Amino acid sequence: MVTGKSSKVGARIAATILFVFSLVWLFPIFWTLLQSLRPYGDVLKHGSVSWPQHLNLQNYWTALVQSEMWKFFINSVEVAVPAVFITLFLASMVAFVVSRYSFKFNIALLMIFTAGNLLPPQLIFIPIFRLYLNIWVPGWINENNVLYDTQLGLVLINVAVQVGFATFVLSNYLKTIPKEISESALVDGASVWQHYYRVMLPLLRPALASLGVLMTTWIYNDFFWSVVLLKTGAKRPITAALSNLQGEFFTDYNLLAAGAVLAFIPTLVVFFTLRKQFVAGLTIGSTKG
Amino acid sequence: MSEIMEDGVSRRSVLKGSIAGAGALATTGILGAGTATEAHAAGKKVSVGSNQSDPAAKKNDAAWVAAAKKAGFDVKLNTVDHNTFQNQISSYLQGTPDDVFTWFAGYRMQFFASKKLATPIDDVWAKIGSQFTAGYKNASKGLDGKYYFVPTTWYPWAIMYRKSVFAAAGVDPKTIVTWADFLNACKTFKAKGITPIALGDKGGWEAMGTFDFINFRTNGFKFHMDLTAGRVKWTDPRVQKTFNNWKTMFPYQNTDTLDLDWNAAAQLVLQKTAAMQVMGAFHASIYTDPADLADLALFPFPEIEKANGREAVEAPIDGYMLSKGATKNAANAKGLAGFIGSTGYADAVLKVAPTALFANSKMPKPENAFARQQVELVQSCKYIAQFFDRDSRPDFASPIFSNAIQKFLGGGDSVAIAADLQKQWDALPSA
Repeated sequence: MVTGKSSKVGARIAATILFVFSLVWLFPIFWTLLQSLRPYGDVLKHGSVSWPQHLNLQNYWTALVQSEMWKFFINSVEVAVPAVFITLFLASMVAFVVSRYSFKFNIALLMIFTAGNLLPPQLIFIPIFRLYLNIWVPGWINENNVLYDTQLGLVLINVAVQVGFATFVLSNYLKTIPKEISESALVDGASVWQHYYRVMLPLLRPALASLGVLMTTWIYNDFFWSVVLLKTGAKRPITAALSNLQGEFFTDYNLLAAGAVLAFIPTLVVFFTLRKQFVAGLTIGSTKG
Repeated sequence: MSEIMEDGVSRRSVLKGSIAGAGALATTGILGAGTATEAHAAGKKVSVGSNQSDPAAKKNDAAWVAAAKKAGFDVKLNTVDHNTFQNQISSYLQGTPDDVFTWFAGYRMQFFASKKLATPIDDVWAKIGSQFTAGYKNASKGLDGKYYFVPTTWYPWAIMYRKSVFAAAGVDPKTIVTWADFLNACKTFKAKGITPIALGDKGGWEAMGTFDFINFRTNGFKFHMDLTAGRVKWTDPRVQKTFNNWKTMFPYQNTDTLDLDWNAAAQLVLQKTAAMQVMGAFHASIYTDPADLADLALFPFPEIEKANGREAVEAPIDGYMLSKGATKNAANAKGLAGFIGSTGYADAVLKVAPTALFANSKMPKPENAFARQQVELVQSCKYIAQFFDRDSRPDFASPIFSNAIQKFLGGGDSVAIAADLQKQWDALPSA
């Protein structure tokens, strides 16, 4: 009886704590939404910590159409989609080899891939910048004939930065898949490619989906590389569009809030589309004895 | 950012509006030297990197680009948002920069000129020189004495206030000449429950304006320029005089300076809970109601040491430079630079930004009262500073100096702060 009661109290306390924390998390989002619906004039008159008198969608219209945020959104998609697919493709192949075949440099190879991830971009961007200025590309990609200031360059750097982490996650995941599956595939005469493509890749789906969500968010949110490796305003991604909403002297924070809401919608869409796989990807393997 | 256009007043138009004609420092010049007329061949291609990303500023760009087209230039505009443009400038100039790019006069320009990232344009100035006064000519030269910069527009810093607030408190801004007058006015406002001075320094740069004014009013213009350029040490006792004078203002400032950006502080003046703000003319940009705007005025920062009077002012000049890459397209880029220096450019911008203040001395004086005040203010001054972050090394102004100012406003010991500033200046790589 006593234990039952105390566990009930415990549950109450836990619920209260969870409730408070969810408020802490939700409040900034709620506040952003509220501010994004308020015209700047309303804030100016009543101060930003006041109950809004007018709410409308004007800020969204301004951000999307007048500030042409949609163009920057397309830029982001053009970088994020190829980058995520190439990263997952390359990383799954490396992970397949290091986890399914044993050879001398197996572990070393995996470590090299993972170690590359430990270098922060702030440390390597100057050599990368110099490198990009010296890599030739044909004129139809960039009239200056260098990789610098191209979206291709942005895709490549994102692949390079993300592939290490993706390899690490995927190889760990692959290790949880019983060897017997591979053995039976080999017995059935599958080539290496068939073994990878027909047997392992389908099994990797949950892990690929959850990684896909993470990578999309990371690459989509990247601001750093686009500042370092692009100079043309019109090529820059959505994160740059948000700085477009900030003025030289004056920033309309209500408009900025609307821009921020617009910018985070796509990541939510990706998450909810792949939610099932995402959760499965997080937990699969954890029950293995 | 967005323009607040609700009442048809755009901030930029106000801002830009201020000083036309900078007849200011102007004397007359010889006729015309219009380079625009020389560019006959159609479609001379030039690429231009622009930080003019605010909606109204974009309109200005569109206007002069259209005018340049008529003059024979095919301008490809690359607009990047203002803050990123500045943060990115170093890699931008070392990468594959546009032929011509927007930049600022002062040490900020000289820094990149001396790094050989800009193209000298003495030949352009041979044509447009007659349209600018000596002040602008000096502001356009690199440390090697060559021209690197074409000035276009400018705006001054001063003490911004609302006439109605001053009238209600019975304070006449014309009588505020000396530091004692100023502190007395502050006392009057404080007694009436109005914050005398609104100051926000959340961004780290806003209060630099106040520092600059107090410094050159206390120690003279030459000392200020020597200090910002590193020719005088921060440990010099005169720096402490500046900080000490500032401290006499502290009781009259709002206490949450580090929580407010300039905009939030300016709103205190707009909402009449504060009386004054030491700010650039862009203070006007938050006045969306024309009635409020008509109530806005400015007066010069008061005198501190009699010897220095009120003879110096901060009036940052914006303009254009040629990148080192422009050498590949030198004839076209220089032709366009000449156009930007001509009245052809200024006329086009004036049409969309009627309150803009131009460096070109051939432009007429502005009609707007607030803009005229700005021209008169600058005309009455002997020396023009560009603002701390334009007069000093870019890597010193921010983050080193901006942090120091924030520490000082937070109650830090000014002697320790000055010593620390010198230590950090000495640690910078030689420019």
